[in-house]
Amino acid sequence: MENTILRAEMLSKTYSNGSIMQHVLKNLNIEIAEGDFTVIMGSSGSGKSTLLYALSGMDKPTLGTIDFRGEEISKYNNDQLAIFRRKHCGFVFQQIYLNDTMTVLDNIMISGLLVSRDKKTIASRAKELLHQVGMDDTCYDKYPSQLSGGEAQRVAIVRALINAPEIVFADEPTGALNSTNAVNVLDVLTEVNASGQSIIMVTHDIKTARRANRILYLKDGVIIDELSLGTYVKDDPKRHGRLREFLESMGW
Amino acid sequence: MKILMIATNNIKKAKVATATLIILIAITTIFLYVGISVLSNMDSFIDKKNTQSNGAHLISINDGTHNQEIRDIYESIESYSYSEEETGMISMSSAFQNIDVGEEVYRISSIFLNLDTPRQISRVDIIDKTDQMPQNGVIVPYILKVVNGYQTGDTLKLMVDDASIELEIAGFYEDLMFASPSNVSMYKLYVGDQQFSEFLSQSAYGSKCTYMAVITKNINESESFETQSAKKIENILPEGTGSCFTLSYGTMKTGVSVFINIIMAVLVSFSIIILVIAAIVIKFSTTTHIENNIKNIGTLEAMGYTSRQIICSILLEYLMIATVAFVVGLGAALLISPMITNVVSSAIGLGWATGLDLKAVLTSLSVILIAVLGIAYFSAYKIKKITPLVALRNGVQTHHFGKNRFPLERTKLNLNTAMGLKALMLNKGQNAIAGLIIMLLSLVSVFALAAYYNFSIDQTAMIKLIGLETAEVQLTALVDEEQIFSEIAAMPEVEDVIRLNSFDGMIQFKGQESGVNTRITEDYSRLKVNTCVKGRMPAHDNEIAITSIVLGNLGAQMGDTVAIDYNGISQEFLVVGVIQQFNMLGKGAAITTAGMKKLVPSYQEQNLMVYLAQGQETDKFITKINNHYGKEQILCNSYFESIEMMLKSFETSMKIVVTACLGMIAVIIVFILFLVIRVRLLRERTRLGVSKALGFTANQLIGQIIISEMPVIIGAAVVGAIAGYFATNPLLALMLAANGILNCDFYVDPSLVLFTAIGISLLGLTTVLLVAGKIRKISPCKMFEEGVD
Ligand SMILES: Nc1ncnc2c1ncn2[C@@H]1O[C@H](COP(=O)(O)OP(=O)(O)O)[C@@H](O)[C@H]1O
Ligand SMILES: [Mg+2]
Repeated sequence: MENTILRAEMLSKTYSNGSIMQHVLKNLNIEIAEGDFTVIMGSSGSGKSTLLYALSGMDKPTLGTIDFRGEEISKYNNDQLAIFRRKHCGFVFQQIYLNDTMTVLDNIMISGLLVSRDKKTIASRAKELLHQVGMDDTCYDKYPSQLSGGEAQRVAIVRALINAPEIVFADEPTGALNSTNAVNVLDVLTEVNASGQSIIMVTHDIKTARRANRILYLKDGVIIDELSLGTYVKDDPKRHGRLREFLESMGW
Repeated sequence: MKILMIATNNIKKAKVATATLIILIAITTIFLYVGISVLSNMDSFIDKKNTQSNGAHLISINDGTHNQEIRDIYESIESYSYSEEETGMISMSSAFQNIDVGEEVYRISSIFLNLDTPRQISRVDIIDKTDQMPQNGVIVPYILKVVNGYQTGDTLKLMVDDASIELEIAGFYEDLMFASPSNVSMYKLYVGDQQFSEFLSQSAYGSKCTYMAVITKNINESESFETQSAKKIENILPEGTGSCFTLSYGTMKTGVSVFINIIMAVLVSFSIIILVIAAIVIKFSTTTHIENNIKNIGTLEAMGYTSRQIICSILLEYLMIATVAFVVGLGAALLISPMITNVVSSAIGLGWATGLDLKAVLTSLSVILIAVLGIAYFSAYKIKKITPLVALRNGVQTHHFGKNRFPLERTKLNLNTAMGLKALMLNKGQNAIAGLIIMLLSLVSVFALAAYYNFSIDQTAMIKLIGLETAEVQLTALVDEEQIFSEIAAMPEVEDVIRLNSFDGMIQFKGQESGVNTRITEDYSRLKVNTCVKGRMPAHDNEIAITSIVLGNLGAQMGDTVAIDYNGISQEFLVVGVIQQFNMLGKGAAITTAGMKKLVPSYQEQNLMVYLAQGQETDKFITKINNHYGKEQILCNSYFESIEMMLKSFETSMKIVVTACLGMIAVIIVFILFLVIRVRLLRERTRLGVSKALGFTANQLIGQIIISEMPVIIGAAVVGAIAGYFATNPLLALMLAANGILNCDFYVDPSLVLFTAIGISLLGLTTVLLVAGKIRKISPCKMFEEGVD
């Protein structure tokens, strides 16, 4: 692929729990194209989060290489990885993980200020993004505990986007939300993707998964198959059917 | 037993807090146990030591001219039991040097007795005895072994004026009366029969004297025996020549133990401070435990546990910790007991030996348990107010609606500083506690350092407390004092001379009576050491200044009129000032020469204090005076050197105690910071993991922790050290209040304050770096996987 942004080759991850070695990822090869909305699915414990963290440079693979735009990030040390993450990656977690001792605005700014020192620009960009995800001015000085789960996750998405990362990694971002909130959050992510940023998302949920244009299915640490869905179109019954068929064939 | 399970589980979870508490309580145990066991056994220990050798209740040394009269006086006193007398040789201007330990020559008067004289009173039990007593063998006080490091076989050179002789140390003896030169600045030494006769036959080393030892019917009233006999002996001796020198058991016992008792009292105070710190830690960890486990507590309550059972489990947890810590501390105390023995022995000059003291064990255990369980109950009590529903519903969630400190949009600070300061404000409670503890310890450090400085490096303030003049030489003219004194004052070696004398007498007020050593001089403003703490020194012939101890004994105050009794003449004096002194056990007074003349109209000042010019050697000057005037005209001995020696004998104990205290303080600071930061890292591990995921490097996060902890540590260290600067003297006065000290002038060098503040800050920084370094090792996702639970 010409416009590959992230490529993993012969990726393996082994955990040792005491004397027991657990091979969670086994010789994986993946390529992510720029602008793709990739979803990773698979049963619980199949290694989805592990794969996501390895790809994003949060954790080092046991074996194999990962490159980002031709740069081999799997060689990086921890500090280089941190700098890589702050510049190029955004993260959205199931548990949201906003800092509950800081206001909404500060939560976003701590990420922004890691990359730029220009407080004014960061603040105005944060406010603009908050508006884009449907949060109004009153939220800036609120604390996370004063927000609903959906609002909090939208703030977390803004935090992930503040440095305009090339890739947004999302680990079950709607897992803790009710369906209305989940749709809201997914709409935001779809929009983000439409503006050209790549998304790699882990999910359990078929309605969430159908937002992607590419579905990878992970089983016992191996990608056993994948499905290409094309660009997301709202309320496309055929799309839903194809996905369901694919998942059923995987033994979902 | 279910409660036991909950308790052990809590201990397992809070490892650092448990370790910190164990350390704190163990240190408390060491100091408390040692302090209590020494303080409570000192009295009976000295009594027992004395009984072993049938030690004298009173001894006196006189020139042998009034033996019969003195003996009659002793026998006439009601509580007299029996006595013994022997011939000795007294040397007022002797100087000694142990050639083998490489020490300097020091001057101290001495009395030599014949080892081979049979005696029932104060029998000599020789420690480290040689197989064969050499012809020039000498038995020396035990204190020289513990403080100065003398050993059997060493060569002790005795020098008197131009004569000198080498003696061989053949062993050590213990005798309360001559236990420590800090108490009585005279050595009692035993030599063999042959050496003794040689000494007596040649007059170069000293003069013949009579040494009397008395046993009374009641050892506890030796002091009153002394005052009764002293009054009568005064009457038979020719006026002004104090040629009968008396020591009583009671005075010596108090004198010998006063310093170690103060040190032990300081140790006990220090242990109480540490116990307070332990209490703070208990309060802190109980509160966080309840906060963090409110859901578990709710679940237990829902299951049917009563809040009393839950409180019991917390109490049981601390009971187990305190017991383990106590055992550890007690073990450590027993392990270091040789060191304690050394400290005590060098302070009292008797070989200290006690085994495990059960009473002290029980006392310290109960103090610790009451404090620990009391504070634990007090902190856990609020569980009673938590209903299961409240606990389950509002559990874990902590809501923050506080003011937003350092909003990132507007602050001028850089990101990491702002984040660090945000955390600083958030952890206010914990920081305040850690700050308080560090402040307290910083204060104690300055106090300990200052105490050491004033004992060992610059002793001016100590000398002032002791209350003696800093004159190098004291001399008594036996004839023609006017002439001799003016000649001496004109000598080039002499910087200043002051006529200063003192006598032991009785002072009375409204039917109360107290023995007192009264100083006499013309003009008190000329003295180099000012002992006045209230009012002023006497200036007129009807005025007197008295120590607070004597005033307390008499029930008198400034402004009252007291009477002094001397040789049957009684004279009234107005109390115009309060003085303080360690010397003479704080029993002192001061009157003017004119005042003395009212008591003794023919009084002539025969005593002269001589202050030598800078760089002059005391030894040389004394030799010069002795050669110039001869012993018929003048008695001359060194004065200030003996004070320096006395301070030196305390130095060993002080060094050990101060070092131990500083070491403990360092350990406590490290553990407290360890605890605070570990708890913080555990609580914030999710947040830290997320920060790492967002792209913060480990160094940035460690930096934030340093920014959020160091201001508190540095601030507390500085404030505590400065408080120590101001509090050292008041605290010391408080501790010495029982010794009649109202006011201390210890010099607290600003560099000690600086040193303490910097030392503690650096120690803090190192600890923070060490603990926070843990952040480095953990990968971001691992951190929050743990955080998810
Ligand atoms: N830090 C770790 N240490 C040991 N084992 C781990 C660790 N993280 C994940 N695992 C194991 O790896 C496997 C895959 O985990 P994960 O990637 O979280 O699965 P998924 O996200 O697909 O549910 C699981 O069996 C899990 O127990
Ligand atoms: Mg997962």
